[in-house]
Amino acid sequence: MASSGSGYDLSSSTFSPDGRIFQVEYAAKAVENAGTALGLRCRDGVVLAVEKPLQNKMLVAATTGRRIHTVDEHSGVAITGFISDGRQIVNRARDEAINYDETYGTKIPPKTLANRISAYIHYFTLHGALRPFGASTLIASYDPATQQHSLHMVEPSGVTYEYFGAAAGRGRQPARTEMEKLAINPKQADGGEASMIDVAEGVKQLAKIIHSLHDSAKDKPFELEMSWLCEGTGWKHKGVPKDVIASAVEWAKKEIEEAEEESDEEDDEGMEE
Amino acid sequence: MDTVFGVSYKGGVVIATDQVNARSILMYQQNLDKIAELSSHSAMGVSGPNCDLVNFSEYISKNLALYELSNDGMKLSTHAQANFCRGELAKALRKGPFQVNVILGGYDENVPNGGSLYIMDYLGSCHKVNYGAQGYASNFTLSIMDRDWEEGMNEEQAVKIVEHCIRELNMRFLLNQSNFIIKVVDKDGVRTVKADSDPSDN
Repeated sequence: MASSGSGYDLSSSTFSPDGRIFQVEYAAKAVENAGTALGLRCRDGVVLAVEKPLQNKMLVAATTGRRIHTVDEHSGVAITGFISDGRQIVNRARDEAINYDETYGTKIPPKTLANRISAYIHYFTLHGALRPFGASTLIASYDPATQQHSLHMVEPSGVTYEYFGAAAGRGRQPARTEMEKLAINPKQADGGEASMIDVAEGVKQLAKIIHSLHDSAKDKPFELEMSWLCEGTGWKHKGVPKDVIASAVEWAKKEIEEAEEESDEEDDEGMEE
Repeated sequence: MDTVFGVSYKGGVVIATDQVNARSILMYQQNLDKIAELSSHSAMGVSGPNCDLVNFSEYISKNLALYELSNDGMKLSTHAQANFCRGELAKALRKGPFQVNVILGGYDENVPNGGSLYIMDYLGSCHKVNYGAQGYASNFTLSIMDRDWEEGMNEEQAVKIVEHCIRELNMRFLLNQSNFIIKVVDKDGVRTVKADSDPSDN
């Protein structure tokens, strides 16, 4: 696996001989072991989805441990990793957004919000007395001035990029593979912008990805939290209604079953030959 | 005592100020530019004592330049710049007020009519207006603008109103402000349409 820190990993203000800061990498590990968080930039909006593992059977689910938060009317943030670290990030993001609005009388542009959050998270990787955030942040946001919606993700190291599809947490590798198959990149889709999927389709696809990654034998039972920011919600960040999630999950489960049946049939055919 | 006024039109704004810099019985200069260029597509006409006029103009324009440098070239809209400016006036009010009254105008692509004009005073009030004037000049010019301003005017018509106002001031205002500077802000940026010179210029 990763090479041993052997003495260079005790503080985030220490480089290793090969130029790594182990504390930041360990922070990223904390995210890698947590529930999957996905974000999808669709034609008419952005969808966020988080897999919330239910830690134990005594938990009163559906009320606790919210992972997706509204930062300002036009922006929402999904967290995975250390949830308490995530809460700090959300509070800071809200402060930044309100501060910007009070100073400039305008909603904070998506890129600026992502950069502010990124600068905040990065700060904690510079000081020996502080530890890095063990959380990745997915930011869905809309800019009323340019009328563009966008998806950004900030990692524990503080780097931030804009994405068509972003994934963090346990299932991020297979999730990325699945997302690449979706029509979300206007340059790759044959019909350009118009043939990209819309948020309704995005909700279903994300539900399918999360459910197909979840191994019911190994992983804990989970809840699916989803939100969207789209034309349909008047470009306000809102939770996806429970019935929409439920029907998306139903569709997802059927698709997964059918896919399994098909691959079983193919195996059978292979065996016959 | 300073004359600052502005008129917005379809496609931009025109801002005009006098160019007098004087104290007591002495005229320091007649070619002072009181219209600070804030960004590529916005400018602010400022009135008040020369110290605050210069200090405040530079403070705002440098801070706005800093924003662009810090945020990867992202430009602030005129609305955002006006809010920032008003915020600074309000913050300073209960500490060490800037005794300046301001007319801020700018051009934004995604704003209907393109140009927007904001009028602010030293107490931190801010209003978006079609036309406005600060100081004694308002007594003479507002009625002209009330009468002549129309929705959908072009630059030529807006400048005509400004010139009409200047003629009126030259005729009826007690103080002799013979030199005026007029700047236009439109999609091509900020440019000076007319600026008079001081006898000492040559």
